[in-house]
Amino acid sequence: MKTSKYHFYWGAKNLTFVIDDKLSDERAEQIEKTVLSVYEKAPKIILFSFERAKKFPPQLAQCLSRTMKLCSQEKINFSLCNLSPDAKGFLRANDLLGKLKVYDDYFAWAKEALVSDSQRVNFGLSEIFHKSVIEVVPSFLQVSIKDSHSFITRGLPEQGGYIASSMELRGKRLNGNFLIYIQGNFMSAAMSELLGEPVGADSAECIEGVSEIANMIFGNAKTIINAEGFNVQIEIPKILTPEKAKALQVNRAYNFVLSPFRSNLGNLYCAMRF
Amino acid sequence: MIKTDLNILIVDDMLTMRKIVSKCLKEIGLSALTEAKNGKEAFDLVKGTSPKFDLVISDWNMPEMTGIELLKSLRADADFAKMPFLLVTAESEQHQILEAAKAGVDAYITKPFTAETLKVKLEEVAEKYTQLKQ
Repeated sequence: MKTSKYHFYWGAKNLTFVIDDKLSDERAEQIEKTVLSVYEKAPKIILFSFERAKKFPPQLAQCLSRTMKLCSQEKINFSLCNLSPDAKGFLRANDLLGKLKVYDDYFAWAKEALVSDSQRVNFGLSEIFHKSVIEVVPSFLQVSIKDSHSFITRGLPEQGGYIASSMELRGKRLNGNFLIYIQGNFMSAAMSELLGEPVGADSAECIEGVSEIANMIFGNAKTIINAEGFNVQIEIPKILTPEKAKALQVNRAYNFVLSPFRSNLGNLYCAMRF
Repeated sequence: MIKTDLNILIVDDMLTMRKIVSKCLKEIGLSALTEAKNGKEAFDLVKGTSPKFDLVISDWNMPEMTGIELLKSLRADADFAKMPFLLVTAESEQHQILEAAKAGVDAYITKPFTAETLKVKLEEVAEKYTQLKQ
């Protein structure tokens, strides 16, 4: 049976419901309860994504109508993105389309969220980075993900003493760069462990190793992003000179999704520029 | 069990990755290792080395000639068409795995990996090629 994925993003987490195109009343009710329970704990920004929905089940529409009403009462921002033509048709027919903010995809939403609301937002990329970073960094490094929620920013924080690498990201809907900044001590510890010999923080192995770690983390991220239908390509990683890295940090023309990771041996920042 | 005197070619544009693969191979007892920086250099080495390499372990994304291009070139050459070949990559999209399988790859390893994973993959390959077994 064909299935569709409905993504619900809020705060620092996201939920994915995999449901049949013919949604049963029980399942719709279960989804509604889950969504409402999330609202109780949560945040001020809610985003519903319907990327893979071929059909827009009426039960889910009713669930949305009720939750929208609740959002309105509670003054919670409510947005929709990745709507299928069928979903748009339903909303238009019920005079709901004009009352909602609708975006082509969640990156478009994220861009606007940055302008309209400077509070921290998250749209799933942090989970991608979390999984990839935890998989890639050696187990002896205790990486904290507690305070590593991604947030959107313009420009990057000042990062002296970091080695940086960039991978160009190209696609029809998403263009920019994946960026990684790793503190020298972190790299020295990681490379010494990986190579089985002491490696200095300013060695060629550490500098090149940052590109290799970028390749592993963002190669994984690309696989996950493309599974969401983005169809992006990435280029071979390049080491950024300190001048280029600094220029990126202060460049306000771009939006960044930034995920900081702290460890017992230094810090690592994953970012996407778009 | 895999033979420990195998002559292995490691192909990766990153020196550190070549070192990491070498370290993993040495941990499992393999020490006859040669390195190449890209597919083109590897292809020239394969053609010009006698006796032949027993196995190639190659990265996918490299400048000049990628790992998949190297694999296709070797499979198209009657002398090296049956050379055991492992691809190593950070990406694992379905279409890439399919492309590698169609090109005739013997094993596919996703980075990051451990010496243990590499050993398991090598033993899988050795099951297909008796000359690699002890």
